[in-house]
Order: sequence, then structure tokens, then C-alpha cells
Amino acid sequence: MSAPHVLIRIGGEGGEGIISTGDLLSRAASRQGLCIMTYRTYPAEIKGGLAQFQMKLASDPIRSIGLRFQHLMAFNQEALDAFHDGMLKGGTIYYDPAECPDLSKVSGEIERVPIPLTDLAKEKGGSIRGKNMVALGFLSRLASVDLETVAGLVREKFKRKGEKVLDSNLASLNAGYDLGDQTIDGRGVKLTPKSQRGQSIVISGNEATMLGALAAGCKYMAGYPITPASSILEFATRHLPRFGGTVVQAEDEISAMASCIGASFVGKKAMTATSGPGLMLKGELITLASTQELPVVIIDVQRGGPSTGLPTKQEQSDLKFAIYGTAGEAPKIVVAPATVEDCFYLTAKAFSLAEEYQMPVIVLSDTNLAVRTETVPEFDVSRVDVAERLRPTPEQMKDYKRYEDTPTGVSPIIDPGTPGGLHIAPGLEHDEYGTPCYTGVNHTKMNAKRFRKLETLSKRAEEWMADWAPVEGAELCIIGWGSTKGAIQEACQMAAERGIRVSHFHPRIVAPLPEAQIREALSKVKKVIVVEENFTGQFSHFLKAKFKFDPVEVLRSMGVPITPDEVLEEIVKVHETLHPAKPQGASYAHR
Amino acid sequence: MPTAEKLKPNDYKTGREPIWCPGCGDFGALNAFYQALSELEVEPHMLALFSGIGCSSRLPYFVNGYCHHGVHGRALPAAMGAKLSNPELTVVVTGGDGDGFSIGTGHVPHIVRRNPDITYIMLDNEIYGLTKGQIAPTSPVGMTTSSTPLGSLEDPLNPVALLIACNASFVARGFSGDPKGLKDLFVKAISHPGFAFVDVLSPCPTFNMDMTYQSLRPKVSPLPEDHDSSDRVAAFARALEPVVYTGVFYHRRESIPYEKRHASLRAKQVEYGGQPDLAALIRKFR
Repeated sequence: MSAPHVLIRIGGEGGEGIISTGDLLSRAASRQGLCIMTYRTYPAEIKGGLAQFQMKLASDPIRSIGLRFQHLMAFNQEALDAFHDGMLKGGTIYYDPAECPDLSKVSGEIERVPIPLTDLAKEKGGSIRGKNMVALGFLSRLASVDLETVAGLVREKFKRKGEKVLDSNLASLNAGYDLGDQTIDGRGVKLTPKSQRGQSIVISGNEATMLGALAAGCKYMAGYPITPASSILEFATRHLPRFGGTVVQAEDEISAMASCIGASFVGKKAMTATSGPGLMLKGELITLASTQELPVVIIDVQRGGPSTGLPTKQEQSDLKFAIYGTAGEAPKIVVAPATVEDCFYLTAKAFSLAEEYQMPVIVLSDTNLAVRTETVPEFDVSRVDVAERLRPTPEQMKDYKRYEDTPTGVSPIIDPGTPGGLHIAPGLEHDEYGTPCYTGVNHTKMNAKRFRKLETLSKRAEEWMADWAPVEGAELCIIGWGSTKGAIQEACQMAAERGIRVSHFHPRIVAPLPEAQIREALSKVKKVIVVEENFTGQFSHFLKAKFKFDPVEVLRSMGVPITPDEVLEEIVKVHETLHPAKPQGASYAHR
Repeated sequence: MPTAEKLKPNDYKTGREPIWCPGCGDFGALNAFYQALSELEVEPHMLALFSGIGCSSRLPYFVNGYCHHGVHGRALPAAMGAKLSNPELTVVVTGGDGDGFSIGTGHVPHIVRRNPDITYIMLDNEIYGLTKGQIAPTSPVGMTTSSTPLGSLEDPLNPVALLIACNASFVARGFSGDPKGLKDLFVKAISHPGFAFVDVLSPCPTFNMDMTYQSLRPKVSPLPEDHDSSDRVAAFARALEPVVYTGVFYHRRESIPYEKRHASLRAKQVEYGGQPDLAALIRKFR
């Protein structure tokens, strides 16, 4: 199917160190030159509940993690029962016999290997709290990660906790590694690091997002705690002040948005981060920024909705609200990162777009990107082009109009504190000076001016706006957006191996759409498949309205990322409808 | 812009004519505000004026400065974002009782906790004027309005008591029928290094016949000369009396503005984490 890789899942009680075991193992693997991708699920509950961490390790860059795995490390009975589903044939369950008395629910060709996590931690490390270190040692051996690399990370992590704690953890780690030496034999996976790949980092989408904001020169961040966006606020709190900025945990989502507008009004690059329910609360103020023509960046880390919905699960269901979800007609830009790397560069781009076009830019990230970590090439700050606001010419200063009607729609802006540019930023409809004016002629003119900025942008047709992978002779094209990209790419590759050629179009900017590029993609194929993780086909509706065609919709609202296998299955179905030689494959259902 | 000579109150006018009804109390407040700006020699380009929605929230259109007319009830957080981002600016918020104590109440205790150097001028007419005469959060119980034809069923909020209870660092009340006193309060409030609240009784001659210049004059009285404005408990007691006192109820001398706390935090982060270096921060993820 694809290049050599190993898929490991770790499951246990929240608070047992499941996540840190996974983090340390993946970071050690990355330091050794391997590529990793991880995915984790948190219980929605405050304490306790099951936590799982899944990781994929490979020699080559990883596009998607899927839901299947070969190795499960179960810390307790509940995790064993809940998480063994999805194991590949010939997989192995490693379980702690002290915590997992009953293996009766496990059936099929699955090997079961007892790993005495509790006993070894007690015996060698002197504390059962070292269970996760035993597991880490064992799994390191399984994935052929050097003991010294992982021990180095453990030292970094525990150095501040004192020698005693560190020694205990290292003893447990060694015990787990030694046990691996004795038990693993042929089950171990030998992955060869690729040299010459350049320096890599392991990072989550939310961290990458905030780093992108720093690279763009963000100087104000206000947010309100909300899953799964809170870690952006937390990351900002730890770093933005040092970079000369200000971070406020606001009393509510509305206040956060309002204060960003205030910061932007006085000339600072400002952002907020939220999830679906918060985005809705910010709606009125987003229209204010749009009509006042103030730059502001809103990160929306999508989760399962509506309402409180599935707060810790994956879904791409805020698209329509992001594009259309305002009373009145308020132009805004919507971009959607497809990878963790995109979270950095596209967030930085969002700031440039906001400054350049003087309007709100919504970044539609999602739970999958937010919480997964991934090996990515070290971010190159010099690749970020930082845009600034349009300033008036001396000629324009003679009769300064804050909302001057220009050919691009963009008007020169002067920040408070600067002599000569006094003006009002109104929420009321206004003329070019900002003076309230309610005539129909003026309203139509100012609407045209504001929306002209989107036309100016959509005509740019630049490379960053979409990933377009045309395949010569392809009859099918898949259009997706956001974090489904990796699964679609893998599915296209698997289809190619079966002789089905499929092109793939994945816009980074979803509003305004890169029209010319999409028309080109549509013109070359017989059938288009739109893949998205929501129930109603939000992006598909948007495309259909704009381009008048009839795509096959592949929609998932399962709370987990779509897998390459699922996409492949749909490709095959659609291919068969185009080539009905095999009568049994003549129909397709798209959900 | 170094002003060659001191700007006069009229120099703060924009040339846009106020849209208020004849006899509106907001005229008196606006004139007092022009005078206060002139007395304090606030340069117009250093003035950032924020408002929400309502008759009184139109005030920024008539003042020379950088002005922001936002959405209903959100002027306080917008002004806070501005002050934090450019502490050099003189930041003032104006708005009515509906804007501040109905739709926007949620922001009040929090801006008080943070104490940014912002002056909040509330033009309190105890009615919704712009929407033509509905009951307001400061209207007395039993008041007949277009939305309470048989009289209001709700007790009013007491803005001054509320702000003292929240522990605002400067709380005052003025009356638009006393422009001189009002100007003095604005000067003190703007000069106070922290969040300053001025409740201005500002009659609405069109929709509120229960609160007129005539009806207010006998009720209004300056705070007693021996009132100790540093005593929060005394200030609260005065706010609860039936007499409608004007003057500075409470003025906390130790007041560290929010923007200064942020400046200290920045210095502390540099002390612990070193000078900002984004590439170095990225390398930590290796």
C-alpha cells in the first residue's frame, strides 16, 4: 500500500501519562530523522475518562494517519476493550496484566503480549507512576528508537523535578527498553531515516498557528477559553508579550473580538481564536470590522456542532457561517489550512491579507489539525512576506478620505496618534469621509467599493491560493478543503496504483474562491467528487452555486478524520459509473 | 502635532451638527466635554473616542479626534484593545444607560477589574431614546413607556453604586444642567490614571417626562464638603441615599493602569525568556 511505517496506539486512563508517552516517543523518533504524525483523543470530561494517542512513524513524509493500527499498548482494561477495534490483521496487543485481567473481548488474528507495566515500575523505578516510562521504553525498542535519544528527552522533561524523580523515571524507562529487547524479536520495525531532508520540528497545528501570527507581526491577541482553540490563547500568553505584544483572556467571546477591533483601529495587527460557538458570538463584530474596513484575523478551530455539539471531535461544519454567516452583506476572506505546516504559513498570510484588504480574515482550522502533532520542515520565517496597510499619498492627504472609492476598493488608512488623519470609523453606512449617509445610491456605491476588494483578490490566481495536482488523462477530480488533504492525496495515489487517474484540487482560500484555477480544474474532467467532513455538503453547495455543476458529494460527520480507504472506495464507485463494464458496480450512493 | 496655541472648545467641533432633539441633555454634556478637552490641552490626533449605539453614542461624530462608532454595548472592550495597543492615546468612551447597563453590562465589572486608563462617560437619561421611548435599566419601577404601557415591573440599576461595588478606581456623577461642574468632573476623570466612570444625568425631553431639568434640579445636590472620596464604604452609602448627589464619590489613589501591568509583564518575559527571537522559538520544537 505505501512506504514502510509503523502505527502505534496507546490507551489508558486520562492522567496516566498516555499523552506524554506519545509525545516523547514521537519527538525522539523525529530527532532520529523519522517522520511522525500523531492524533489524540481527549475525554470531554474534566478528569478521568479514557485517553488515547495514536502515532504513525515512517521514513517518508506522512500525509494522513488513518484510524487503523498495528500495535496497541493498553494501560488498563477499559482502554483494552475500547481501543482494540481498528487493529490490522496480525497486530499485537501489549497489555499490563495487573490492570487487564480479561482478554475475552479480543478476538481474531491478534497476538496478545503481557507487559508488566505496573510491576516493573514498582520494582525498578520504585513507583507505579513510572508505568508510562516502562511503556515508553518498550515502545522505543519496538519502533527502533535509540534509548539514548529518548532518555535525553526524559532528562529534559524531568530535570526540574529533582534527581530522585528523574532517576526513578529513567530506571523505569530502561526496564521497559530491556524488556523490549527480550520480547520483541521480529515484531520490531526497522525504519531507516532519510538523510538530506533538512531540519525538522514536531509541532501541533495550534502551536504552528500562533507561531505564524508571531511571524506576521501580530501584536494583540484576545481570546476566551474554548475547546479546541484554548491552546492558541495559552501559547500566545507565554510568548506574545516577549515579542512586544499584548494578550488578554477576555470575559467573553464578544469582548475578545471587540478588543481586537479596537487594537486594529489604532494600527496593531490583532487576532482572536475560537471555535464554532464563539465564532457565532463574534458575528456582529465581524460585520463591524468589515464595514469599518479594519484588518483582523479570526482563527476558528472547528469542532463538531451545532451548539455545544461534539466539543472534542473533528468536523468541518463552520464553512457556511464563515462565508455567509452575517446579517447584512459584509465581505470577508476565509482561508483553510490543510496541514500543520499550512497552519504556520497560511496564518501568517491571513494577517497580510487582512492588512492589505482591510477586512476580517477567518482561518478555518479544525480539531484534527489543532491537536495532532506532525514532523514538518522547520518553519522558515524569511518565507513570510509581511504586508502593511495602504497609506495615503501626499496628494490624498490634501483632502483625506478614510473610505476613498478606489479602483481596487482599498482606501488609505491613517492610525490614531498620527496628525492629519482625523476620521471616524463608523458602523453606520457612510460616505467616503466616514460621515453617515443612508441614500440608496451611496449604499450601493459603498457596497461595490467594499466587495471590489474581494474581486481584486480573487483575480490574483497565485500559487499559494490552492494546491492543484492535475493528472494527465484523469476523468475524475476530487475537490476538498482543509485537513482532508492528506487522506485525499493518499487515496489518489492508491487509485493510481489501480489504474484510476484522479486529479486533486485543494484550495487554501475558500472565499473568495480562486475562480480561474477552479474553472481550469473543472474543465479537464468528466466528474468531480467533493469531499468534506460535514453532514450537508457546505463547500459543495458553495461550489455548485458558483460554477453550476453536479458533483458527487462524499460527506462524513463521524467526528473523526476521513481515511484514505474511505475516499478510495468512493473514487472506485464513481469510476465504475463512468465505465459501467462491470454491471454490479453501476450504482453509487454517496453517503 | 505640537499645537502652536491652546485649542479652544470650538476647535474640537467637527462641523457635523448633532442630531439630538432640541433640549436634549446631551448638548450640555458635549459642550462640557469640548471645554474639558481644551482645558487639558488634548491634541485631537491623540484622542481616541469610542461609543456604542444610542442617541448619546453619536457623540463621537461631533468631536475632532480619531473616533470609533461601533456596535451596541461593546464600546468598553473596543476602547480597551485600543488603549492597550497605544497607551499614549487619551481614550474616552461615551454611551447611554441602555448601551452600558443593559446590552453591555457584562463588560463593566471586567473593565473595572483591569483598570485601564480609560474614561467612561455615561449619558444617563433613564430611557431608550433612539428606539423611541422604551423602558431602560435605570428607569424607575412603575414608569410608563411604549414598552411598559401599564408601568415598569422592574427596579432600576443604580450606576454609581454598581461601579463602586465593582471597585472602580474613580466614580463620579454629574448633571448636564450644570455644565461647569460637569466639565470639572470630566477633567478629573480624564486625568485619573485608571478606569474613571462619570454618570451624567442627561434629560430626554422627547421620551422621558419623568426626568426633566425641572424635576431634577430640586433633587440634585453636590456631595457634602466633608465627603471623603477615598472612603469606599462612605461612597457606597452616599450612592444609596435618596438625594441625587453630584461630584466625585470615590477616587482610589493607588491605581496601576492595566496597560502598565502589561508593560511589566513584557519586561518580565524578556527577563526570563530573553530578547524575542522567533527562529530560536521555532527551534525549540526540534
